[in-house]
Amino acid sequence: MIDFNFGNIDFSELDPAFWLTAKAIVIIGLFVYLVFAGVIIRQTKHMTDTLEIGFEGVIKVFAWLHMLFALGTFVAAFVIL
Amino acid sequence: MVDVYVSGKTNLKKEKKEQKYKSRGKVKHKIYKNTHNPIAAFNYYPDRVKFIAADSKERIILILRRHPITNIRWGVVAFFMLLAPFVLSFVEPVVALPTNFQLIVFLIWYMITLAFIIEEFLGWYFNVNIITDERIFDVDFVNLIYREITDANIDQIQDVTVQVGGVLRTMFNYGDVVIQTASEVPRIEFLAVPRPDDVARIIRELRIEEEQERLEGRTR
Repeated sequence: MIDFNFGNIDFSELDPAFWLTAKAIVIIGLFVYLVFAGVIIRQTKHMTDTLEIGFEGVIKVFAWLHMLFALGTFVAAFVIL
Repeated sequence: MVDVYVSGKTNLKKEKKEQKYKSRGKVKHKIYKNTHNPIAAFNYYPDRVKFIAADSKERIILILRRHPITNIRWGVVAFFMLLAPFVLSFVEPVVALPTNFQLIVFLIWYMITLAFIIEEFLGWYFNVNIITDERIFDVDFVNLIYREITDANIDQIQDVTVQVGGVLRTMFNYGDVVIQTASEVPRIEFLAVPRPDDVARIIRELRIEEEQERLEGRTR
């Protein structure tokens, strides 16, 4: 039977090397995500080039907001982790 | 009741508008109203449209998307994704994480949620079916950057079938319009589109118009 009780985990007891590794993994993951955010912008351009009806501006703004969000999170991870 | 006064200006505007469409060789229906809404699922004579595969002289008559009700599933998922951090903030392993890691985990979660919402919306907004005065198109964005546009000439349409079944589809009046063609692609499907009977009627009328044009030797 699987025990879902995580109550005994004490992260403060973990080795500093563990947190360094965790930080590296998060930063690498966020870098890959940044590339994905760039792909979304490219995809939006590709789609709006195909069909323009009048809502494309809003879609592009959201794609760029997502990119900025990803960039902000990447920088935040660098600074605060 | 007899109209006591009808503004001549309004009538003149109406006549001018109708004349504009008649001069293009097509009669615009009064029963299907243009909503002037670019995100409408049934967009009859859209105001401002530019489609990469349409010819310069081709007039876009109808743009169809899946009925908005089909977005409910991902809408509910997105809603729970937005709420999840508030619930998870009380779960032991998350609380036990250092504060800086907690903050980054929440930021990553909301970033993924935003990406999910954008992707689902893009999928709905750009996967369209287009009816012009000459052709019908099925535009599919299969994945992030792969596009597939299928088209068939109106005069190659052989059969149009409307499929509406199930409680939700009957209640919200949406369904599939299956079009058999004599072109290379034998079957084009407009899936879960609103007002499928009206769509079939518009296609039928376009076929008749196309036939008349052919008989009169006015084909492009």
